[in-house]
Amino acid sequence: MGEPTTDVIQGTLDMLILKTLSLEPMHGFGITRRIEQITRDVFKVNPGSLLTALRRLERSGWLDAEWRETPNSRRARFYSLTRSGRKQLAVETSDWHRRIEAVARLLKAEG
Amino acid sequence: MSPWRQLHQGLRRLLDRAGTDRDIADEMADYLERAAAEHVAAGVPAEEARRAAHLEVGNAGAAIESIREYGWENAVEHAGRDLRVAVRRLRRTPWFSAVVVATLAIVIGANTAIFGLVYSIFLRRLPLPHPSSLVAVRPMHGGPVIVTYPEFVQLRRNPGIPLTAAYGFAGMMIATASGTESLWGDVVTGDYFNLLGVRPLLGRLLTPADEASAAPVVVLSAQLWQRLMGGDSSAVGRALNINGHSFTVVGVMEPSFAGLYFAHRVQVAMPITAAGAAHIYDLANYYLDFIARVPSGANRAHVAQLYQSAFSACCQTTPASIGADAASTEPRISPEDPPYGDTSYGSANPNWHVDLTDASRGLTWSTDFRDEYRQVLIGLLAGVTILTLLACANIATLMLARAAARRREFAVCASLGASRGRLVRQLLAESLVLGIIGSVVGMVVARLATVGLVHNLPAAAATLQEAVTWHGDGAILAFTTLTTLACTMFFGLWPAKRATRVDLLSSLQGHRPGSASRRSWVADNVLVVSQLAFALVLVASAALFVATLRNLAGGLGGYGAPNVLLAQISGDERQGVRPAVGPFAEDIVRTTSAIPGVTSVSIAFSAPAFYNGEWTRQFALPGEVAPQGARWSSRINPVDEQFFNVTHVAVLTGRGFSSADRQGSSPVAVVSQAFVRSYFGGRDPIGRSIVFAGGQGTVTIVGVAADTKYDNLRSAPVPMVYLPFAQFGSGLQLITLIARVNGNPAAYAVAVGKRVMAVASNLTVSKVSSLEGVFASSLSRERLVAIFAALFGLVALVLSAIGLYGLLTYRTARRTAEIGMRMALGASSTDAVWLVLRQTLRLAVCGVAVGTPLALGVARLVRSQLYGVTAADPWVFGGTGAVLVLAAITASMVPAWRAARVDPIIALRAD
Repeated sequence: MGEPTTDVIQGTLDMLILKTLSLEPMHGFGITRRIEQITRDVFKVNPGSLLTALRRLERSGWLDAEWRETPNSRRARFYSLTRSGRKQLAVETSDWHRRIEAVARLLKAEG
Repeated sequence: MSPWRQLHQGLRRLLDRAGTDRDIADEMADYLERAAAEHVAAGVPAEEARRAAHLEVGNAGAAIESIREYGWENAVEHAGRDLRVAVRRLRRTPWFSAVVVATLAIVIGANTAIFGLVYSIFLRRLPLPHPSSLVAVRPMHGGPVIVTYPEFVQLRRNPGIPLTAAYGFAGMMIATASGTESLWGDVVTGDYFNLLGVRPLLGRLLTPADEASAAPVVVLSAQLWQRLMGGDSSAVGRALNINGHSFTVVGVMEPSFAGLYFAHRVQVAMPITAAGAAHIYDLANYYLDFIARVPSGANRAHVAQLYQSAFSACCQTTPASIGADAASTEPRISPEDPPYGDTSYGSANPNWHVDLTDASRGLTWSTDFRDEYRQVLIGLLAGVTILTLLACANIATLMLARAAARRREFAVCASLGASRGRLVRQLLAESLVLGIIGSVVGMVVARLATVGLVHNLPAAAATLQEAVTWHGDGAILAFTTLTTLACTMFFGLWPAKRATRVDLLSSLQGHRPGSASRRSWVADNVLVVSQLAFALVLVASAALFVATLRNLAGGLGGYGAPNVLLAQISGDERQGVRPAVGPFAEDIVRTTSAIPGVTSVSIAFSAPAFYNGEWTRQFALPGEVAPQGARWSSRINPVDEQFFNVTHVAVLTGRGFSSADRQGSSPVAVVSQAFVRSYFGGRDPIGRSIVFAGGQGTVTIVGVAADTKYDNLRSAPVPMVYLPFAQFGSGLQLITLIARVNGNPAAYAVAVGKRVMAVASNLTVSKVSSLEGVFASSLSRERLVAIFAALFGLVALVLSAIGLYGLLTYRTARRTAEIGMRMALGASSTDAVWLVLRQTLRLAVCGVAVGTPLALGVARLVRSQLYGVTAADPWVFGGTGAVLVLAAITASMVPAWRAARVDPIIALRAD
């Protein structure tokens, strides 16, 4: 057995991002760290996929993005959840629970 | 999802690529900096912290690239880049590009021109508001019924039926500055223009008040207004003399309105009551046509029922019968096209019933007009489809050869990671660029072709040309775009797929492209053979149609010579009476014969191929019994003694007429062969008598004349009785003058007119035309087909020759080394030429073998359109095959010459 996998479960990255942003607006690096902290390093997020996902979510209208000045006069892009993003999070969360339960039942039945 | 947001942000990125790229870079830089800052905060030295951050992020460039790849705008950008590269590449090979664009332009132009015909004949709607609710109302009782104006006045009082307008046509003679213009005018009820929704260009159109008061007013079509008054805006209020009566012009119709009938332009319209008052139209006896508006959503069957009871309540059930059924018809004046073709519809239903016919696309004079053109257009569409396939195969050959030369380049691209789809897309971009340029040029070609046709067809067919002319309608643009896309896919996709199926190793090692591929060799052969076969089909059809046209035009033997002048002479209409022309016949012949250059002149009621109305009489033949009590009737034609000489209608037995056959001498007749066949069963009729019904005289047959054609050049010859003009022509109000002249008949038109009018001041000369012109206008459909077929055949021949030339050049170039080797071993240059020629002949023979059965099949399909030539004419098919082989040999000249000039030393060193 090698190291335990830290890949984000396929299809859940969007939900993780939406959940993270539901607490407060944040920049890309903040989202990565927050996901890692809350999941206690079970999931590591690849910056390329994260930033692409952010763009996709923004295009879909679930996120708003704005540039803010950083202390060392650079620009940082801050993302916040929109109203339809909040709805989407609810949809994805309930969907996720439904699937988890189904898998859990299946595993229990087998055990 | 928010498509609007997708579109908006995608567009913003397309427009500001640099800005969005900077955004992505900034965001990534910020990410890295924060990651590094975190490490620094944990006590790691700055340099090491940055390295750790980069390690965490991985390849930042690739990450940025993957972020950039997101979004639909990237596909657009790639397409744009592919197109730019394609344009650059095509400019590097101008000859190739020019040939492909020219080929496409011709094909797309031909497609568009023919679709333009289909569109204007079958699809275009009348330029009126809500055309789909227009219906022609046709009352029937066993057959079409004559409904006259007084009956219509009763009919329209019926509250159950929708608003209905009635109209008819009448021959009108309009006095102009330079003489008299005869035309068919419309006589209409007051609601006519209002119901159709026609707007005036000037003044006003006709109203119910005009009908009620029988006001002597007319409205002109914009075209006639231009012609008669030069488009003078003060035309309203002017007087026009029509059939000797003064009418006031009250308005001009909008230019877009050309009338209800296809290929028959409305020229002038007057209230039907005014036409009746001026004796232009016989209100009590002439039949009317009806137009109404019934919304397409309404229950038309129910509306037809309403009409049925309305018609049966007010109208008599006289069937409209014209022609053979009538006891005898008197010769009738016919200024232009006879509007009496539309009497063949109807059913055998003996009760009243009313047809509501869709009029949204205009009506036609004869019910089979569209059927006739449908056949022609199906033929033309088939031809143009074959031509398109041929051209696409041709371009595909060229594209393949071009792509084959780039194999090594493709292999390099593929080894650098380009996907096959990417390579195919790039090649397709080239096809698309060619397709777009080709279609734009093609539209211009189509316009020119249509304009060219308009000029090429005879003036008498002007209304038809006008009717088939189009001006960049949306439907035609859409059609051209679709055709272009389909062609591009055909000639682009397949070569692109084949060319990009690269074997990396062998391509990079420098094997000659495709040298080992037997499959591609076969595919090239198939392409070229199919081109030759298609060309054969088109050339053979062209030969058949051109032969048909020639046979039809030459169907009257020596009469068809180019030096015959025809003219109609009638009494003057301005005085409202029609004096007989007959008594002046001898003077007319004498004075016109005296014109220098006129060699012979004849006077007759009608001349072969020159429509002048029909004159039929019923008769009995003593000694012959008509089957089952049928009544015999025949056309009659009073002619003078010069007629048979001038028209070259041979008198086969007996004698023609002479100056001895005059008033007072015993009445004689010459009958046609068809008459002898029909009524005497082929037995010798000389000396027998014809007794005309109604006490109109008895004549003795003194001769038999060869058959000739009077109306339709395609129709079978009809029985005809020729009578001496001196005995039977004196009461005629309208006669035909036939003159043979030296040189161009048009040059004599003015002199003939002057001499005739000098005979008696009340004679009018009209329809002065050369026999050639008459043929041309009566054969305009055949000409249209022959011109198109000949063009298709020519283009097909040239294209297939180009295709063959391309293939042979390519193959000869590839075999240079082999030929050099052969020559080094002692082969002569003749052997080298033979090498190429043998290949050519093999391909050409294959093409002929495949194409001939195809062409025979196509010829069988168009059999009904042919005349005087069979669908399997050995001369046509043998000749076509020979032409094709000859073209193939011509195409192989240059490659063969190159093969013969191969220098073995250079050829062998090159590899």
